[in-house]
Amino acid sequence: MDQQRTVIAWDLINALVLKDGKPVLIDTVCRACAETFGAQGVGVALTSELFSYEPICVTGETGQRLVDLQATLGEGPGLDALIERRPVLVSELAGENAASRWPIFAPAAVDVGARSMYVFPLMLGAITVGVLEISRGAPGRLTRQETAEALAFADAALLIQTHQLVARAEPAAVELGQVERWAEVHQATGMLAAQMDTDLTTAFVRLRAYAYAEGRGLREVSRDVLARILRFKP
Amino acid sequence: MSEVLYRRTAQVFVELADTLVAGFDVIDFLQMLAEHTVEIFEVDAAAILLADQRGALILMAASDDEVRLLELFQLQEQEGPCLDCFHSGEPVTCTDLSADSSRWPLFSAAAHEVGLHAVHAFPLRLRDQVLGTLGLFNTVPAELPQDTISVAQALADVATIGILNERTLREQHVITEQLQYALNSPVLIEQAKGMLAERARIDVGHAFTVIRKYARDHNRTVSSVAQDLISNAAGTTDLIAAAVAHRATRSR
Repeated sequence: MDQQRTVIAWDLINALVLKDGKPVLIDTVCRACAETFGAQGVGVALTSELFSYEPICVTGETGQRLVDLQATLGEGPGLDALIERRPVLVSELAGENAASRWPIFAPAAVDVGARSMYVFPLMLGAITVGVLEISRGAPGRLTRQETAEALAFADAALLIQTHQLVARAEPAAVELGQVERWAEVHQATGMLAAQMDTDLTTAFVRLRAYAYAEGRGLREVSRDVLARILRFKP
Repeated sequence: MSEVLYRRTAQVFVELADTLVAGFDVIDFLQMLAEHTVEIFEVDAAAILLADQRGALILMAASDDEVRLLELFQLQEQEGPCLDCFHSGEPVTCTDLSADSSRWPLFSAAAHEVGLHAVHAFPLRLRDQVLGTLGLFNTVPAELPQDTISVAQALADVATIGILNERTLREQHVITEQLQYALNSPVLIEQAKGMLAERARIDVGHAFTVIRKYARDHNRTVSSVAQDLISNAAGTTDLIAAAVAHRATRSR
């Protein structure tokens, strides 16, 4: 059942892409996600060697204020998710837990109209791109189904962002699809990174781009890399 | 419960309790659990799979790093006793896979290839939720005695506690946070395996053996060694040298 969630997330993203008549952007994911969750704000912030938290896309006034606050204050669930390498899910920003964890951010977030915030890192092993943040005006927990949906949107954001970081071009929604989590894919990514003397993100994007261009499965191509039938030049 | 089973189990629980305290690493913990499971129950292989909340079962640890075995375990994302166990939340047993190959045609064929003929899967439970499974595998058709079944389920429950690593688990949110953290670890290790395999010109299966041995020899966690390898930290040159040496001994 949960695997359907990924498909639904991509269907929504693709529908927006068709409507806009533009390539798929991180902005498309934010909007599709905001629609699904009836969220007050959805934001994506990137992390890099230069900036630990750099907002690049956001929906809604509250969403905008939340990313600004975190970028300015240097504290908040988004930054914690990056440091702890796990989701940070806050069901009540006005509660004691949030106030003791983020003494400046939590009350400020409530002031701008947010009561709950769910942050998912855009992460695949050692590849860490940023975070997806969903905020709502009411306190509450995500259901299991909502969790699966949020993870699917985070996957979509991860794919689009890794693609743009490396290829510096907007990908078509169709070539992105879901994140395949086969061990061979991660192993091949590691092998290619060493082969091309580059980082894992670049290797991952090159591997996916190759599979797409050849019209072959990612797992199948990964196996060729592992068997040393297929090599990539730097 | 037989005296031997009792003694072995008690020992393992003590050792696991130790792990849960100092310098805890979820992968090392599950790895140890998988290896102990094989010793305690005298089965031939064990694997721990965890559901990734997107609906897929991810292999977290196995008693054996032989590549074809790992493929068999991971195949259960599509079909197999662990997948059935995960969906039903009940233990799933097949004492002779070849006698009943229509149940999981793909899985049974792959199991036959690697010489495994019996399987017992136990759910990793948390109240009404199933987080994953602990699978035991035998090379000969075999039934598990009743006392073994109870202990195996207890070990599966310990695995759940280890993965979630929290005393209070009232919050579904905490479960998601912990699960997603745990699930990212094997991905990072797979990436590191690939990197070492390329640098030392060995296959990924051997790369894992080398990483694991290096971690044990240096009293480190597998995840931290993998992280060093990926970030090309100082000191990884001796790990690569060890991998090259590993290749040399194998080709002799």
